[in-house]
Amino acid sequence: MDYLYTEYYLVVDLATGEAEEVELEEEFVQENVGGAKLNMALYEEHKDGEPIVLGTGPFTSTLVPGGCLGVITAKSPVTGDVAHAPITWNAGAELKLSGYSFVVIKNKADNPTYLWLHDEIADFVDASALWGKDVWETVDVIRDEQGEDRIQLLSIGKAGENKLSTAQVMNNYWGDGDRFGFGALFGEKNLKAVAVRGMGELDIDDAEAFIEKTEELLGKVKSALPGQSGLDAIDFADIPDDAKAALKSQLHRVEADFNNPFAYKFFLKYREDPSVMKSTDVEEPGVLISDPMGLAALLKAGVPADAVGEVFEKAFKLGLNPAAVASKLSGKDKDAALAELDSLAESSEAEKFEATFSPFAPSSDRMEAAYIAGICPVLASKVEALNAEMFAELMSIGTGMDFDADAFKM
Amino acid sequence: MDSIARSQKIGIYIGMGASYSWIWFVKTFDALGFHNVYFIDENDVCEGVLLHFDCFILPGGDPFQVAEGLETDGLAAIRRFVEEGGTYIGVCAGTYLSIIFHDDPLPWLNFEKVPVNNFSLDPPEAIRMKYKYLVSYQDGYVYHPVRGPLRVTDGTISFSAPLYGGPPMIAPREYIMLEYEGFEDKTLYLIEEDKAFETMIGYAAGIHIPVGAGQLYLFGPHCEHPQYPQANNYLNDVLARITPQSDGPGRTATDILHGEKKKRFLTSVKRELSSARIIASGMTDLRWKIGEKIWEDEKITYFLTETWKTIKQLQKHECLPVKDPSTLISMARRIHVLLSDIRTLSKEGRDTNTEAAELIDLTKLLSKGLFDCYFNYKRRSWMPDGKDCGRDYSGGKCLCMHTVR
Repeated sequence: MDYLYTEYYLVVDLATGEAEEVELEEEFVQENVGGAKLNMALYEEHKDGEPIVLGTGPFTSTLVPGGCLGVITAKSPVTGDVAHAPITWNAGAELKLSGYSFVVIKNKADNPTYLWLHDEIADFVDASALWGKDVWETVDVIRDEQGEDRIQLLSIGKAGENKLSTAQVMNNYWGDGDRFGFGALFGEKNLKAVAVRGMGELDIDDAEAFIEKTEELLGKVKSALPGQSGLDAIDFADIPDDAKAALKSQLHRVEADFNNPFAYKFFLKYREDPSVMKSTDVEEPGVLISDPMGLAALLKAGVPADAVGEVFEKAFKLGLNPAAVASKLSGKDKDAALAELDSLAESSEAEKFEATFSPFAPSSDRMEAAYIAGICPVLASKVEALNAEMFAELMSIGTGMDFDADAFKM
Repeated sequence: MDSIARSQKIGIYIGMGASYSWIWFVKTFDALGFHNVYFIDENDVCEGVLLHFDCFILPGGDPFQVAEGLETDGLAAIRRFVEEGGTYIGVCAGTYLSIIFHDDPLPWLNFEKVPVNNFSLDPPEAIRMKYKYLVSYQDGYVYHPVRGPLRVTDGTISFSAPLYGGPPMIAPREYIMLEYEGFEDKTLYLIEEDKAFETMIGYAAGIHIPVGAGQLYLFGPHCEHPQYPQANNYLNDVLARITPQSDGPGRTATDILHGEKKKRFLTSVKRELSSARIIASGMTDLRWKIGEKIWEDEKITYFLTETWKTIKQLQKHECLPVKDPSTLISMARRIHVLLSDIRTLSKEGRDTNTEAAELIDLTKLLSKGLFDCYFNYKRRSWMPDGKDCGRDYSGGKCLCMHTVR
């Protein structure tokens, strides 16, 4: 594929330790567009290998507002069906720029392994020494091993190693939108992590027109988000009145995904004064709330607002999905909740639910198109202009091929 | 001038003391269609290879180290090359090395007395980049008033070219080709602007000096910098004046890699180079003094990035005429290891000059190996039979008489 995507996608067989580069054909993109839809086509093609498919949309890593999204597609141990979870922040963008817009991970490795994708190179790295390490240690070790702090990691902690449906695929140190227990699938495959660093480039067919259109779209996106960020992403209905005030008192900063005008992630500091902006000697001053809806679930379950930061931190280290274990923490104070997390990482089961797309973002009729296009679903839920018609127009400009709005439906 | 007419055989010095700016020549020569390009180090010069060339380029770098590397024999070989009809192009360090600008000059090439206006016993105060604005020479200092783009003129046209330490020269009118005409918005002043003006403007930026049967073209600014197309055109015109007289396109002894072997070789180099450039991209504010030259981490990144781009081009070629592929893979691996060590040591606050010196040498050699491969491929169409060795290599030999592996 000449435009918006890399030339190849990758098919990894963990059982044989082989990685095959496959040309991403124009016809395949014409038919399946990208993101969740193209992932689904690859899933079907490689179904026998019980694949986990990591993919990107056509606009991932581009200037299209919200173009940060990667998608994990696999059969969920929670729903029993194939489902799609978001990869937000920088990992989706870096995945595409690592040289592979899509990665199919098949079968099971004999020994713990991590996959290191960089500049069209796929390396299988022994992860035996990492097995048993928590997520934060894993991130530090791999970044140190490969020599760069901007390496993006999708990894699992103890919960994933224990193949629990409450396990989450983590995004660097923090949680992400995996509510489908895909962390357990990583564990099943002996896959400790996928590390990516993207330093590649993308081509655009009519670059000038594409940029002009994205600038026009950015104007619409900004006007739809007047002054919103951080805590504004949370629906505080059904949450105790004092929770917002308690969170505000710990709020340090907001953070945005790659090229996302909506900074819905926020950092809570509870081990030092949150007004301190400069770097200090406190090694782990707090936690990034990368999943505001997961936080809302904890608050609704009755976890005290001044304890959610530390609960999140511990869940993230263990690779547990906070939303999946929220009900188990109901009514517990901080110490009891933290202690409970240790046992939940040994044994727990997520409550079943039905969904194709992760309930990480508020539901909207634009969710499906966003997952295909590679646009942050949280942003898409807020901005009507980020719709299938707009995506089809942009994709036609960017690729020189014809797409209509129906292409952005599953 | 069509591509085949650009057949001047050009040797670029990349040996001891050469900075990374020789890569600018590579990029620009490629864009201009000069593909009969070879990379030469101090040993090659001493062995007399220059006699096979039309033009020898001594690019930017550290003239002290270049002279040290070439030693008496190398310097004599260059002098002989020019006197016997060769063309010497010096830029920045290559210019300082070739002129006499002091009453008691160091034993460099010293072709001709050409004073420079940035030598002083009492140089002006630096207002920025104190660590690299001054180089001591005998009883005084060569100082660098500005860095970055400035205007130069040949009297009829005026264009922008970047300066990174090159001299403002005081030369007889008949030698002068280019003069410093003025500064630009992006000119970076290392001393006060008025003093920089006094030092630079109106002085020679490029000179042409006949020597014996040969000639010198000496420049302060880097007309070869690929981001300055007008300056590149000027350089093109200079090269066009050189009549090709050497023994035609060279046949570097190489292996030809095809198919899976080509892929395996490139993947092996890519793997290490990718890891290296990833580590390098995360480095900030590292600086090394090697000889008299200050090297910043971004220069390493630049080297690696340009080498990376070459690999991407080589991937598109149907075959690779490459000299000693296993050595290139080992170099790439060592570069990766050295960068990893530098990262670890610098985090611990330890000195990394030794590692950096080895890294710079190896990066240069790896780049050379890959650029050699690139130009070898480009030159194939010049072979007498005009056949493409990638398409016909039966019987263990391609039509270019390379051994097929």
